[in-house]
Amino acid sequence: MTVIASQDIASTFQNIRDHALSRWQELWDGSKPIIMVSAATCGRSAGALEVLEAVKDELSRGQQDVQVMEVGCMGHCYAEPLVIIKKPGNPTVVYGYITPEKARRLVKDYIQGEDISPEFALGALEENELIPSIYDLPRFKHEKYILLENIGRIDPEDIDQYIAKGGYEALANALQMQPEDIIEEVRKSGLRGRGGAGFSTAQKWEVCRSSPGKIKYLICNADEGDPGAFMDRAILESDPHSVIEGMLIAAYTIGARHGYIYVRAEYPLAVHRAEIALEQAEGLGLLGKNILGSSFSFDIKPFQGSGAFVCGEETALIASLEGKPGLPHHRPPFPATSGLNGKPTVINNVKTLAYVPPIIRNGADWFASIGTEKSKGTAVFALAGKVVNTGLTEVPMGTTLRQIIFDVGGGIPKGRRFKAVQIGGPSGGCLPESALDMPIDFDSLKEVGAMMGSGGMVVLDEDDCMVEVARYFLEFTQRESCGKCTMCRLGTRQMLSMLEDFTCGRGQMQDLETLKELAEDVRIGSLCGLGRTSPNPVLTTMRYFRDEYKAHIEEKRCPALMCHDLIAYYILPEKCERSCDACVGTCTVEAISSNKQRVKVIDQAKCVKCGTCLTACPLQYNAVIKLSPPDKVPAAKG
Amino acid sequence: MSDRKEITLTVNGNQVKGKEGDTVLQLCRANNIYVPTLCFMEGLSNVGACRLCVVEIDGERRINPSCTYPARDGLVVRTHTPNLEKYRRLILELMFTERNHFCFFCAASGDCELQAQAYRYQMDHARYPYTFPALPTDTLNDFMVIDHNRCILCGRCVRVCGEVVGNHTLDFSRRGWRTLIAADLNQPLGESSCISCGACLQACPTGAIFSKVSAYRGRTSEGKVIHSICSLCGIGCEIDVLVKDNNIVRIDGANLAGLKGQLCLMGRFQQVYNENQRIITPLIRNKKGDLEPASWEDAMKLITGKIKDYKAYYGASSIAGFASSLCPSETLEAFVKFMRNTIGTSFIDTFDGSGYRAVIQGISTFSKNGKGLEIESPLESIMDADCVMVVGSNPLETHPVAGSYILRAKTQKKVNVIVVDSRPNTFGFRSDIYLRPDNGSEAALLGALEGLVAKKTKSTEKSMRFISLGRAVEKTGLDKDAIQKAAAMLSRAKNPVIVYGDGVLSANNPKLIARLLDLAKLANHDGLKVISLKPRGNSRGAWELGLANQDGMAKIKPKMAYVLFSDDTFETGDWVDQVGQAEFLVAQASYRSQLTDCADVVLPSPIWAERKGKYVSLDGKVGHSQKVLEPSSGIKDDVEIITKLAKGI
Repeated sequence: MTVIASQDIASTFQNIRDHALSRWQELWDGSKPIIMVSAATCGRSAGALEVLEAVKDELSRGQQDVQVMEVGCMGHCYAEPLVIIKKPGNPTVVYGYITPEKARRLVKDYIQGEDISPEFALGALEENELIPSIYDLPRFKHEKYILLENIGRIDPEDIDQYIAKGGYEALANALQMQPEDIIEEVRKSGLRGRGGAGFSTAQKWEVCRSSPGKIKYLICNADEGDPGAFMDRAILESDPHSVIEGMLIAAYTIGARHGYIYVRAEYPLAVHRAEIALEQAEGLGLLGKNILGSSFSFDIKPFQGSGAFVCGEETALIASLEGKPGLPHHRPPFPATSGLNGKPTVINNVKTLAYVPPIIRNGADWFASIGTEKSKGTAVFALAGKVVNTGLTEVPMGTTLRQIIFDVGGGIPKGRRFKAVQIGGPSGGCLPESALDMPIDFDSLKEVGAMMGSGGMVVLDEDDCMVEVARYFLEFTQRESCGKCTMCRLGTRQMLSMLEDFTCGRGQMQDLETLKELAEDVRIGSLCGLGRTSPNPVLTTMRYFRDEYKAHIEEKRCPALMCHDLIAYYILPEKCERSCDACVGTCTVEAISSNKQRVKVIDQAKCVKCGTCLTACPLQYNAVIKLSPPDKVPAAKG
Repeated sequence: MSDRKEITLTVNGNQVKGKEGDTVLQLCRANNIYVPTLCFMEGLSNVGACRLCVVEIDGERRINPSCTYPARDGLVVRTHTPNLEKYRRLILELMFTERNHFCFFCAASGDCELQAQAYRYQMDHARYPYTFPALPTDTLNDFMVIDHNRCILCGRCVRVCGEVVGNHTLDFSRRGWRTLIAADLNQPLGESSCISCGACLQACPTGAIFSKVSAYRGRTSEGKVIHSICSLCGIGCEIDVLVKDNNIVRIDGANLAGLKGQLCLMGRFQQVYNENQRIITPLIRNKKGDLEPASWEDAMKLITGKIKDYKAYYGASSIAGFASSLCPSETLEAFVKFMRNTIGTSFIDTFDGSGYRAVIQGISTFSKNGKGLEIESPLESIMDADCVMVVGSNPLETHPVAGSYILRAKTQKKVNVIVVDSRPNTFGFRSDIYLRPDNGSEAALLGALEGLVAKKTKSTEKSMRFISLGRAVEKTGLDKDAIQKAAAMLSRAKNPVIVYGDGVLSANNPKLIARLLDLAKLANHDGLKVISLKPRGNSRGAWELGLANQDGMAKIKPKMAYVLFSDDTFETGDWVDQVGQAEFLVAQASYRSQLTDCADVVLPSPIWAERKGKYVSLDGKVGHSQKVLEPSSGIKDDVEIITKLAKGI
């Protein structure tokens, strides 16, 4: 092995960086206006491509030379499609809720004219006198961007932009360090795996590094399967090089020659952008043979998973990668000693790997200064459900749920009351209002029965029935259970059938005890993480919302008026406007009729509880209500 | 593995010793600590699926299955705490509620591991509702039924099919509680790549896979299990025969996961039940030309009289004897003595055909030092090989267990497999290279391979006459690249084994055999690795007794023929014409067949299960078959009949 002097690595990288920086300066500080359209999957589904088309079309009518760029997701999914415009001499402004029409207006008024159009603006990216800064929004009081730093600000399909923002510097530094020192640095930073369990990254790397054998593998786990979680997708789509750089450093550290990005086939854009990024990195000698002129070689292949939730589990992922059915394997042996093809393998989550370059670049102490005592750094959450500002957020570990949901997320829409927050997807738990002021990190969440999981955060309000929520998540895990081990295959099924009984009003009080016992047994006895964590939604809802379970069982009543079999629709005679026949017309089964006073009455025997009458009843009357239990409906008179 | 470090664990408070690398379950079993299991099976990989063998281990947050947990020095394990027992009972409850486990309708009742565990845990009821999915039953296989309603998805059948049989027919389809065992791409078993070896059936802990020939005929506890060897094909598989009321109920492989306990459809199913009509008394052809029952005395007298007559009129060499090499060596020895010494004829043969004689001639031409079948390798050498070349054989049809060895070597050790056969051969589709030379051109192909291998390995062997690639292409009609690829594969290998079978034998060509041996010697770095798949259970034994190497047999036209047919299956061969020409034909046979239909005297003969004796396997190992059934009163032992006849003369 030829030893390459570290000056060579540094100077090789310096050349690459100089080129990137000059390109970036030309772009950013040049005289051309720049229009950035946020076109990750979230933006695209909100119409970003139509916006992009409109922008290009409108520009083609004028003579102006404008740089149009597709960028990733800024995290403000609620306001998609987003457009960011940088016009020389003016502040950079983020515009939200852009339609093709608004986009045309922006081009005409601002690019071709001088109207900065504050009516569409979310805020400016820098302090100025024209438009309030976006950082004045309450969410930025709590947010701290490490992973989301570049997201939505650079073109993910241009490696030079990433390099200009400081990218691959950490790789160049790492290649001049000893692998042991890198492990030490990561250990000092306190980085824990962001896949959910929070295992020490340094320890995993060290075990793999010290495992005997020449061939080792590194796998990036981008099989993000939780319903309502999309952080990994956003990072791969918006800043793929941060993941690749993290993988390179990890591979150099553990001594891997081959790496894989295991990404869901349902993420075609992420796959596409990762492929482009890999190609560009290889083109610059940052990937492949003798990286930056060093003796270190590493290649990465993207591998598309076929959408099985269980394949997010390390051993099932490996099986899938080997071409076998995605069934988990018992541990020990752990993948770090015997993984892909029986060789030592490190599997890290997208976010874990993306944290590595900033840690190497800024030092372990910087990272360790963020977060709580045992959970360092930041946490990325995908906010979804009954919250105003859905989207991505990154906050330091130790931020409270209240700060995330009410300040970052903007609270509950329509003035409803907060009821619970479901953290960590189907493996996580539902936390009630009393947990809102708890600073969240890996350990505090575990203590209250939830888990960090991959970082999905679904907010529930008073209209959500907790028994139904537990049933919903269990139905998901039950359907995704691979069926290999008895406990998960059959335990989840029996649990689900009990929950179904509850939501249908068939439950018995003693079932609660049986359910709890079964849930505990599934938790301790299942083969893999899927089974072990599947009872969490059930156990936490039973712990914090026992009253709701009791109401379902003893009174056959659904307090949130959600469970189909436990509610009935009723028209309040005193509120019904007699000349209005809206409900009668919309009823799909002709269950509504007028009585002699022309008050509308629902024939409960015919009603299929579809709820169209409730929607149809004009707001000023609000005469249709839901009642639970159904026998609360007064007997019809005359 | 004897140098593994000794370790000490604490199990249930007692110090227990084991070896490093053992699982906790292995260690418990070795120390007579019972841990219940369902998905575990000796010799298969451990999956930890059923969760019944869970134990508590100090320092572990969860309970862990002992079958997958590696034992470490100092580990503190508890196998039977109240919590664990409660947990195991829960698992059984869940299993019983999953599908249909009502024992009184089940073929496996009494022999079922799930049922036994339920009794052990006194599971008199389940707290959870029964789900009763309506699942299909697959009955299309000739011998086996898969009843998904009884399946607990332990995966033993899947693992045995892949890891032991090497056939990989069975796997799981769908997932979660919808998982079903499926053959190939969800074909019915009878239309799949299944070779009906029945390993899955033996591995199944419940009644989910059961045998059509054994179901409802008796439980293990009701009969007697007799350990024996299968005498059909010369592999010498060890069998456990379950006998109840002098009937064979079931045949199991004696050690399923071992090398010689795996069995094939012939050994496992066809020997349990067949529809042939049994001969129970001697028969003599009467004046009308019909066979009618006769006494032993009359029949023996008739035979001895005829032998004397023919000997007196035409000489001893007008009498020829044929014996089935399905018979044990003792019987064959008596037969040889009777023919050679008593009658004085040298015309004796087996039904293995002149092709088999060509093998022996080929070997003697090759070895030049009078050695015969001894130069062949043991079957196990397939497992150590790095390349297997199969010539003129579909082992999965003729010798399925040998076929399994090859498939197992291929899937587990990534051994390359080359198949050469001029006939259509489905085994070719499981190989890396499948060469189909034109009929009769195998020798040319082998000659060309020799040349190419010699060039690649820079062999200095001068004595061989190679065949040029061009000529081989012309003769065989094969692609040049294909031959070169096969040669490259052979020369890359250090320890290739050549297996050949009926295709080569039927060519009846000693030169082809010699070529094959030349190639094997040239390709293998340690000498010569050749295995021939011989036609019958004791073919090699018959050769050792001098029964199979009589020269000039093809030309003789006997006046009288004595055929020791026993329970062989009638197939046409060279000997049939010769026997057909004989004026007087004696058949000693177990079943009515075309042979007995044209015989003048028929003597009843015991079947395999009614005799005991020595068998020499195709690779020269001696095994002993046991008597598992008492023959009915009219049937005498073959040796006894022959000795009596000898006395009569």
